[in-house]
Amino acid sequence: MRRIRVREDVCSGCLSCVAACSTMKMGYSSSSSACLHIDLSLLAKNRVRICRQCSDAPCAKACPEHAIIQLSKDSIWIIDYDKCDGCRKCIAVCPFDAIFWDSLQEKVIKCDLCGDTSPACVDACPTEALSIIDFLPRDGKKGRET
Amino acid sequence: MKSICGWVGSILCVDLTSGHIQETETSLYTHQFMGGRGIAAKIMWDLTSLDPSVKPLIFMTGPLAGTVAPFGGRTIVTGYGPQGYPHEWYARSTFGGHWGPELKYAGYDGVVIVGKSSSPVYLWIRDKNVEIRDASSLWGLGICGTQESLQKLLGFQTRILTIGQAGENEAPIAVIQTETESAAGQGGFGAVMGAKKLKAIAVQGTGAVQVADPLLLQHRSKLIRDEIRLAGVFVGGKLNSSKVEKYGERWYACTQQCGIRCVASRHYSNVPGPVTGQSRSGHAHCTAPGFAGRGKGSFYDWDLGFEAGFDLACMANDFGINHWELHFGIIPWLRHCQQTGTQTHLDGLEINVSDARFWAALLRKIAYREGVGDVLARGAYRAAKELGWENDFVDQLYAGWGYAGHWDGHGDRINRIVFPFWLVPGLQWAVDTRDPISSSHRYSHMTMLWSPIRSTVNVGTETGAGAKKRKNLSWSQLREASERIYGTSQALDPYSEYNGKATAAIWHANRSALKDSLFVCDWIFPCAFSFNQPDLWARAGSMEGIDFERFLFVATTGLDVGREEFQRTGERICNLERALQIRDFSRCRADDEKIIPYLERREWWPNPLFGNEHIGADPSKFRALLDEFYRLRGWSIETGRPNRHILEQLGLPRVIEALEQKQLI
Repeated sequence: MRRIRVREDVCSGCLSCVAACSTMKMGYSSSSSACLHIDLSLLAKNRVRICRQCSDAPCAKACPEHAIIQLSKDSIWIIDYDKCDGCRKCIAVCPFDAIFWDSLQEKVIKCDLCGDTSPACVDACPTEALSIIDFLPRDGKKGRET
Repeated sequence: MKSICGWVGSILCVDLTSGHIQETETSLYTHQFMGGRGIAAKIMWDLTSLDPSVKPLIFMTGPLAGTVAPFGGRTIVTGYGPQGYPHEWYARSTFGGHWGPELKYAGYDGVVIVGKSSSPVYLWIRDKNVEIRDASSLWGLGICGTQESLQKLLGFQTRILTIGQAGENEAPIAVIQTETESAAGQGGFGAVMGAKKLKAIAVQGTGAVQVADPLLLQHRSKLIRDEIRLAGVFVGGKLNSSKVEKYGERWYACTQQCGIRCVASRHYSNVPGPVTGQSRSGHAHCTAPGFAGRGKGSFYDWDLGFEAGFDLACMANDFGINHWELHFGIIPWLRHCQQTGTQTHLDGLEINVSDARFWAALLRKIAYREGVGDVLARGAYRAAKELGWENDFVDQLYAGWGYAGHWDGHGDRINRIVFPFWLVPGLQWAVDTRDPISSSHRYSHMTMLWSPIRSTVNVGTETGAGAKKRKNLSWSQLREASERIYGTSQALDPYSEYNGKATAAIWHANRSALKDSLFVCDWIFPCAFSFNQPDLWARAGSMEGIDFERFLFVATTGLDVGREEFQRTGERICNLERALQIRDFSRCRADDEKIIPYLERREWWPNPLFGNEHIGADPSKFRALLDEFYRLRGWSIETGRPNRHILEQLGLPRVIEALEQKQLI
């Protein structure tokens, strides 16, 4: 399984990833339509909020419409917009606060790793705070990086 | 309002006297002036033409702000800057942070402030909802306290521009600062906000910046970012492991969209402050590390230690005092007084730059304008004149217009540049109203860094991936590059003396105006050379380095602007700014020539091109260089003012009309 590895200790707070994400997804630049957010901190590390592709996916469990799905075993979690009714329960349960309400498109959004292409946020990150890794689930809970 | 790709369509206009709030269309200005600095100059021209007594303060973003274009997040503030000397004339200053992009997400390309409030206020802009709010409880707070209070009240994603006590007390060396502690330093615009009783402008936006060709912009941005990252210059290498462990040292982008780990910008957490007793967290940019001193052998040879230096830098930040003015103006002057014994005390306080307590007391005096701090708050140049102290030494430090030297080979004792290369910044100093280098580092840096002279970057040695291959261009390669960039080999020729320098000065002045209009980072653009390329000529895909910013502009806006038209826009902006000086202060050649005595002094650095001698400008040759500069600009050689034909060519009929009315053309 691929996922984005986050190193908050080297995030410079440039927000290039946020602009890159919304530009890739929507063709415009806006933090409202970005699938990751950076909480900039004046006092400590910035907090990077992006889907970690949890193996136990509390968002999927919380979704009454079963709209957060994997297309195959060990593939990434994506939103099935044919099912999603925008109830936002997934947003409330995400332990990483990494599912968002896009106020411009009026829908729930989360990172889908840009499909099969190289994720735009990773390409844009100048400090390698974001990188793409392969991740093998272990014991159904924690995983190890390869 | 018309939405255009790159721009969001509206400029907010706020009258603090009446409380009236309105909008104007950005598209009225974009075709001729592009963005930021260009649009600000045009708005200033129009507003002050209608009412010369109005003193607007203008904040403008550029079309790249808030997009994915790398290095494009900066913002400009312009107005009549109180730091200017002998006039408080039209000047500008740029800053980073996230405020500019956020303003665009909130629906505005810029903010124009006119009038003044009778009591402290702050402006709260949230998605086109604009309120002028009471700031009584914020007045008296420092910059950090204001940021924290407003973020608590308005939300942690709010981006805030604010002033500290120095701005409230209208110190002409007061800054306006963002949440990343990136400041609009030069010009004294913090004092302008203070005079308007405007404590802060807080912004939150959930909107979007439309882009003409998102895929092309993504593609170009990636190519350009990667090339610049590998180009090696200004790319930081390793952090200091001890500081990482003790204070969580990390790279920090001074502005949104920064595409590198910049050597000039770090963040520290919980640093004990031996001076104030406070634990400090914050950023250190550019000159900030210099508070600690730069070690034995340097001009700044004191050593206060990192912690004390950081404490003082944070203190100056919090008060909102211009670091550059302190570091390059006031402190060298006071050090000279201390060394020569010409002045030993300030208000009974012993002058001792090796004592952090002296600094702390000095900063407080300046911020609150107490005692002699009241005079120092106006900058060392004015203070020395008023106090009658060591004018000669201050004249060595101050290039002109009330600003300490910068990349000019004389007053600036950190950035090594030698004759004949400082003739180019010398010309730019001559015709500006402020230190021109903040948006024109590239000639000085490029020549000194990439030539056999190999000056290091002023804030540290570049140690990025490309720098491992650290090498320089030979003089013959630089002559070739000069031909390619400027159309003359002489601009980068070490022995061409005064030849070719006017061409380079104009090229860079125009490009600086464009950089400040799009925006892009001044330290990186125009990106001519790269360690990443075998021939050291920067390129990304089919794009040449010197065209990078134009290619980003085209992909963002969809306007197919060619190289010539791009340069022409820069020329138009420079001419409009010149016209403002002429209309307001009858600016002329005699004013420009005031720079000559400063340049006539022997340069500070031993010159390896001339047997380590120190060379000064030859006044008659510099005057001939000015002749050439004016001729190439299309300005009168006698008066230094634009001729009618060049203003016609640039499409500035109202400027012609106004200057003709006053018989200034």
